[in-house]
Amino acid sequence: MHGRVKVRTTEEERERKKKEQVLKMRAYRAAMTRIQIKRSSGELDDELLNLTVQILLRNPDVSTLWNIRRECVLAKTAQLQQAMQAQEKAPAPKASEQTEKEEEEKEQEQAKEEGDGDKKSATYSEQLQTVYATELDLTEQCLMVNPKSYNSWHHRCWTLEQNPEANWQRELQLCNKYLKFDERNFHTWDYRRYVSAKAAVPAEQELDFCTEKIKVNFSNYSSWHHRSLLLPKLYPNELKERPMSEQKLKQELEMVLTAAFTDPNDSSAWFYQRWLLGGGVQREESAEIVAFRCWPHKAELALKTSCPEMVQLKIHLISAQNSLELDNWLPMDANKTQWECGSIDLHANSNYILESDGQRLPLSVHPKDESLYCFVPPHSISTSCSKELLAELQTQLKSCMDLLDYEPDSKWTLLTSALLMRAIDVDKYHEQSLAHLIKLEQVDALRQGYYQDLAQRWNMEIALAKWPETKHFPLVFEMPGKMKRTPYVQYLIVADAIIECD
Amino acid sequence: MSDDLPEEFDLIVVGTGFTESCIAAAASRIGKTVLHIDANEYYGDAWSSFNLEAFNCLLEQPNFTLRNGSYIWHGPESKEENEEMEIVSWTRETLLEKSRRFSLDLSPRVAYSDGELVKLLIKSNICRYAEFRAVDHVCILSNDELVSVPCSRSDVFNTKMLTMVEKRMLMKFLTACNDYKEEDELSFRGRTFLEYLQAQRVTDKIGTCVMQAIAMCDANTSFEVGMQRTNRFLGSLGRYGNTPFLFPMYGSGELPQCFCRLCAVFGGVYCLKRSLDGITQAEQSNELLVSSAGKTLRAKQVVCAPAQLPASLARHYGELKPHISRGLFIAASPLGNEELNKGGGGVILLRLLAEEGAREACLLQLAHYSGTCPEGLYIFHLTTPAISEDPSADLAAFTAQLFQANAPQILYSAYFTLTAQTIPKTSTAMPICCTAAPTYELDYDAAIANARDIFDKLYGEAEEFLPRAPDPEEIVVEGEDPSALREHSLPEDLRAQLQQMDIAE
Amino acid sequence: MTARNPQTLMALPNEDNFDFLFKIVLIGDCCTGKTSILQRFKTGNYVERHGNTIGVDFSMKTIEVEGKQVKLQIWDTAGQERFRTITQSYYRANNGVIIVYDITKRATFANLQKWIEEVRRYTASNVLIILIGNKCDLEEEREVDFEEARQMCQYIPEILFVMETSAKENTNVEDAFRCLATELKRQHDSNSVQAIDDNTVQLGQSKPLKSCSSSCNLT
Repeated sequence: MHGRVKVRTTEEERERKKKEQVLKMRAYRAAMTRIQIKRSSGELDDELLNLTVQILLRNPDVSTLWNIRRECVLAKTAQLQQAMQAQEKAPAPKASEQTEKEEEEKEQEQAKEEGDGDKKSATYSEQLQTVYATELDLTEQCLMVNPKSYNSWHHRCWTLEQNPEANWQRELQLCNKYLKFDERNFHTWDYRRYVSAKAAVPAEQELDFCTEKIKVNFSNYSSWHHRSLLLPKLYPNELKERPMSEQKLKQELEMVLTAAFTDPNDSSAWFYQRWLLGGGVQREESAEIVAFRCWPHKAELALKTSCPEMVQLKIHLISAQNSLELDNWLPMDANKTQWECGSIDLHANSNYILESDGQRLPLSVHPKDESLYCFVPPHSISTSCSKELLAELQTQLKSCMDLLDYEPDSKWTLLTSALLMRAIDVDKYHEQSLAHLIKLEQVDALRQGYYQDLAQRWNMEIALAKWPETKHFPLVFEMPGKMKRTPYVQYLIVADAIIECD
Repeated sequence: MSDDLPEEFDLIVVGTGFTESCIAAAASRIGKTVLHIDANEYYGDAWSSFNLEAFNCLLEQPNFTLRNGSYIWHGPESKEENEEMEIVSWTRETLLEKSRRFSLDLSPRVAYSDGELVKLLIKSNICRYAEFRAVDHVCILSNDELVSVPCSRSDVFNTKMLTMVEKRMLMKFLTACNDYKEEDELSFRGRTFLEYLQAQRVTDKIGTCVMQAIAMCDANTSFEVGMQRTNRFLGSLGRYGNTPFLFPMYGSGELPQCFCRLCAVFGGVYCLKRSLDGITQAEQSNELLVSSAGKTLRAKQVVCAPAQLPASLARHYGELKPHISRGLFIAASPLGNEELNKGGGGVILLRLLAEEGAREACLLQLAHYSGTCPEGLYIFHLTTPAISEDPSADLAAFTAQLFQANAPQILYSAYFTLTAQTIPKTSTAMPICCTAAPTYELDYDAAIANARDIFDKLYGEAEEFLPRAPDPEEIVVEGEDPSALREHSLPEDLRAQLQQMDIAE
Repeated sequence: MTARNPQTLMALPNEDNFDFLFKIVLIGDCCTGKTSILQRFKTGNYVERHGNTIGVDFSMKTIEVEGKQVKLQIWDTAGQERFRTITQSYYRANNGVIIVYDITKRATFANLQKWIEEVRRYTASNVLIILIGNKCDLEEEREVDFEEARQMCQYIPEILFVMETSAKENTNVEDAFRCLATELKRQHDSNSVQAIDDNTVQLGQSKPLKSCSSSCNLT
């Protein structure tokens, strides 16, 4: 029809695209062949660099090409550095004063050379910077194509490391820009940590940045994670029982609960909250002894967490008279939480103390066979916390309970309130927190096993904590219900008999 | 100049307002020859925007579309007059100096991000001619203060207006609305939306947010309508900005021009300052003889804006009555606190109620980022359905609420009335289609429906209304092999590579 | 000023990359050869008489400037210059303006003042303007001396330079666009610190909801 626009049909368009694709493929193959030829003949020049650009811009994930670029860059920079050194060693000789007219021409020539020399030394370092700038530009363009290209990010880091004059501030701005486009790109967050360390950005500033990003979108594992790395440094907890100072912890708890309430289905906030409610991380780095029993010629040791390298742990038995080092420990279980030492000779009738890496544990005499033992129940009775923090935890628990009234089946709220209860008072809330786990098994059947396991751990923790007060301690331990796989089993090395309930 | 104007067209459109421009573009797009004229020397008619000087002229000389115009300067006339005051940044003089930096809308609107206008612009590719700014805040008035209604998830997270549990309540309520299907909640059929809201056990604060800003309801709005509106709001969230609304950069007056541009790209001919002087039926044909600027043109169809009808025809369409009362203010400070106007402010939308919800008005506050005024100034557009010939009296109930406490520093105020015919529907007296004058609405739904109706009437429903305009690359130039590869469209480096290969071969 | 389009961040591999995108509009009287100039630049061809190519309203071309890929989006008037009815919206968000006159028609030169007035009225203050005197192949029909045009430009500081071209004989066409693109890039480089107001929205470019971060989604 007249006056109507003629548009290519899909068939024609496909045909055209195909032709274009064929041409592109030809160009790609030709470039690849040319690259390989040049590389094997050692021609690491600008042409080779340009050839790789064509392909990398369209597909930034060809690792080989990045490797070739690095070879080219190294060759180029080595050349430039050599030239610079050569120039420094042999400065152009100062032209002697000559007045004769015939010499004038020569003089001019020399002066020109000298000038050139100066220019060259300036251009050498400039050239060097241009080499680096080209690499940075290319990676930036490639990141536009694919912001999650491992190769591009890596090449960028590599280039910056090569350049002693790297502009880290500019990199920081790049991170800002990229995080504006996608605040959840963990590549950018990783890169940001790398850059901010290099640029010596104050942690306060990083924390502010992170807070802004969370305000924009709290559903962001990367930014919560970033916080969890910054806060313990900025607001250390002196007792190391909590991840950060109680004052800051209180604020963080409030913020994360707000996020969690805004969208209870967003798991990132709940995960961060669990981290906040967890114990101090720093302390668990070294192995902690939880139970010990020692006969005249043999000793058994239980550790809180698995410790593959027992050799590093120096364990001594100290009495008023002497000090005895226990070594040659052999693992008793696959987890490497229980250890055995068969080469001791102990003089009884002394008051011994067990010492290891800052831990000093007094030993008692076992009523059964007069062996020496000690027992540290798991970290279950809440570590004391300040009134303010306790108040905050109680407010949060109240909010959770209000929410549960409104949404009784919200799984994260159920779990969090149970954790809050335990943070406030394990003993008092034991039954109620278990009730939440039972409810969770119903509403979140997929994770049934996890909740059962958690319930067993909590039961075991409280049973172990209360065990020293029972009359059978340390002879008999009564299991709190049936267990598929007993948690904290290493704590029981001090017991002689374990009674299973039905 | 008009000598070389063709004399025969498929369609002559008179008036370049939003609705007429829509129709002109749609007809041109399907291959009709279109002449688009306007009696004014500017585009847009009652939908246009003006610089400050031109706007004042317009208020001084009432026309068919606009009457009861008046304006007052509140600030000092010039700097000299106020030497004793230390900071006089804006005077009548300085405002007029910057006259061209103003773009003052007669009919300011916002668009739902997923509403009719946006869908139409995207579908037709007309979106390439326009830029928008996401409305920054949707507000309610609470204790004479503007308060931002949390719209997005991050808003809810950051707001200090709600308690933790309220945050959850609001999110839960909105999620429920979002998941609402017609077969649900049968028990609320025939009841009001307010009753439904109350049954959800939400607090008063949340109730106000939902009723006033999100569902934009009053106490009598039915459950179904309220639900529909809430979902329109929710469905438009998360597309472009923090709120569900967009405002056209440089003002709403840009939009008719975008449609005109499309019409022209597809061959439409444009003449401004050219009125429709008379229409007669041609003998022995269905054609219409249109006289304009001393020339007679022939057209198969004519579409006309009501205010641009020749006097001889206008009487068939009834009397022009006040339709919308408008207020326009220029101020040196914004409404609302600093938080609402971060970084100089953006676009704020506020729905106002008066007489216990019986009357409503819409306030749009524009800062310079909207491209409608110089930096440091703010424009307030107030719009309400007219109830009298006195726009300032019609708006008094709303200005009283706004400018009571913490009144902004107003430099200039203007009032005017937009008119409409009493019988806006097509009359059978003449074989021409008349568009409707701008109605009181937030978005462009009614205007687009009006344009679509007229288009269907002219060309039948078989013709698509504004199908997608092809991108330049898709168009086949005459005499070209449509499946041929255009080498020049390949990137430069690839072409260079291929050339090198050809040389090598 | 338009820098990179944030959406290209998400572009799939194999799509054409560019470092800068600049919007340029062509204006000037009817029949001065605007479309021919654009056609020559875009495709390298010259068509004697353009039977009003319906539906084409801009052309894209990427050229390399100082080692960067610069994409030019060049808009044509769609015939709206005929009765001087170019819409204001045509001028919005431009980076560059090319005003074309016909060296063989004095009237098209005389009208330049009006076009410049319109540019001043509707474009941002930092827009770059160049002037092109087309049809320089028709030397015998010349009505405007180049010297005259140069002198006029001295009084209009906004105009970057004036150049005579011939779309028919392919004289200076590429150069004119290249010079403008180079200036645009340099202007952009020197303003790079200036924050870009990226709060304007172009429709049809919203991220698909799947990739849209849920920050903006209520549910």
